[in-house]
Amino acid sequence: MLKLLGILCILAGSTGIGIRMAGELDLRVEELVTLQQLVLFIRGEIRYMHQPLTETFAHVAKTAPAPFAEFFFNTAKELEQRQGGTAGEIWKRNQREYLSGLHIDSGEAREFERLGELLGYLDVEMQVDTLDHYLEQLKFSAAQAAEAAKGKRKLYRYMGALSGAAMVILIF
Amino acid sequence: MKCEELFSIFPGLLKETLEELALPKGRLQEIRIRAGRPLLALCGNREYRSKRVVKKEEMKEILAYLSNYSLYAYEEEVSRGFLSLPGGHRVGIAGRTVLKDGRIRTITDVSSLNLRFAHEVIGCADRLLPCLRDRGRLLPTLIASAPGHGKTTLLRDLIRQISDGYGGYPGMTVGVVDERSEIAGSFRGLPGNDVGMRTDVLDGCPKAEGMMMLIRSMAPKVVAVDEIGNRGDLEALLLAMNCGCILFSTVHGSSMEELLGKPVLREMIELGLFERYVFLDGTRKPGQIREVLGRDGREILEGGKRC
Repeated sequence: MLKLLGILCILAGSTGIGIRMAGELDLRVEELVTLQQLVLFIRGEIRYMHQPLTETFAHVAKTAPAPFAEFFFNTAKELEQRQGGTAGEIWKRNQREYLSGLHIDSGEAREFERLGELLGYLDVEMQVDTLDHYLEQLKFSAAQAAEAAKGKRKLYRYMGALSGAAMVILIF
Repeated sequence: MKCEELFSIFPGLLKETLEELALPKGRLQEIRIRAGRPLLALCGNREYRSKRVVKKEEMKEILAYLSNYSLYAYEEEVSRGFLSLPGGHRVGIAGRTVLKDGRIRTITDVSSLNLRFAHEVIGCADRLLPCLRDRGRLLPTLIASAPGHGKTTLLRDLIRQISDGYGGYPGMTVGVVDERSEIAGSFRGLPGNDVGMRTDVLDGCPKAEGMMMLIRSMAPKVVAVDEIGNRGDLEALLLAMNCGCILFSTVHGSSMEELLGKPVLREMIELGLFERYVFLDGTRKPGQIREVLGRDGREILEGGKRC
């Protein structure tokens, strides 16, 4: 009876890990899509309203889901307070503080950090071009992530269950 | 926003340099920052010079700070060579201009900044107001002086008093086209200076278009604009006058002869757009009235005394 319970526990645990890993692939896609929506919103505020970054970020924070809402709210607050540092530095600091738990890969995180360095300067056209370029990258990353998720989702689930079964055979 | 409060939006290096200068508490008029040169502050008509030289790379940081890290949001202003700050203060910008289709698109490699502080002086138009009426009728007025002699300050107080009502006269609806945000000192649409309870402000709008818009939408009895001078202004002022509006404006110029020497202004004067010409002499004190002339060029006296 105890043996059977152990087997069930191992199988449930390993299957769970597999399902969770497959779910994380979906989370990455979701986050990239959310980022696209938020950047589109920022682009609209800059292009049509000529809103400064503080107001734009404060508006984004109202509609964004967590943890993006916290990121934009605090970045807007720090920019408004003007306590030192460049806009890029403030963006980077808040990214580390609030967005380090995202499921996007390190390359995507670096691109997001780079976007913060480029915002604020020059004219509206340049800002829009910068955001368009970033949006293109996001679209590409999201498509890649979705493609990868499609292939790996089943693999992770099966691997989870199979590795559990292998462990059961080895142990018992 | 007071000048001292404005310091809070300066970057650290500028704050430190200003502290070093130990400026006396009083009337800070302007701060001039030039790349590779010491910072110069004009306070109470006296110039103060910093020991520290401002580096070229610091100029970009100062500008980013002053624009709240959003220089693009002030693109239109920058292309005209200035940046509005809360409270009607202004930063003049000089550097390398970038042209597109023959028009200045933006200014890069900023080499000079001139921070000009607006000063709201409540009551500075008290002495002038009796000279601007004829048998109770308010007269269209042009205020002229050299730059920095207090034209806008005087116009602002005139607007406030005409709007609120003064000396038994009821308040009138005033429409202000504040192209450079200097009159009302609007920031994000809200006037920072007291321009009266019956005043509507069209902020950051070109004068000619703005006057037309205001007349159509807000039906003001008085229209006030700052620094007129081109043909577009003349046409808009004529239209405003034909709509029955009383015009109040300012212009660069220290005498009637100087105004007549400028073709567009000469035309305005000959057309009789204004019935009072106020000339300021701000060499000793900004906003000091030198003389008030009527349409015929004769000096206007109030109770036998100069205004």
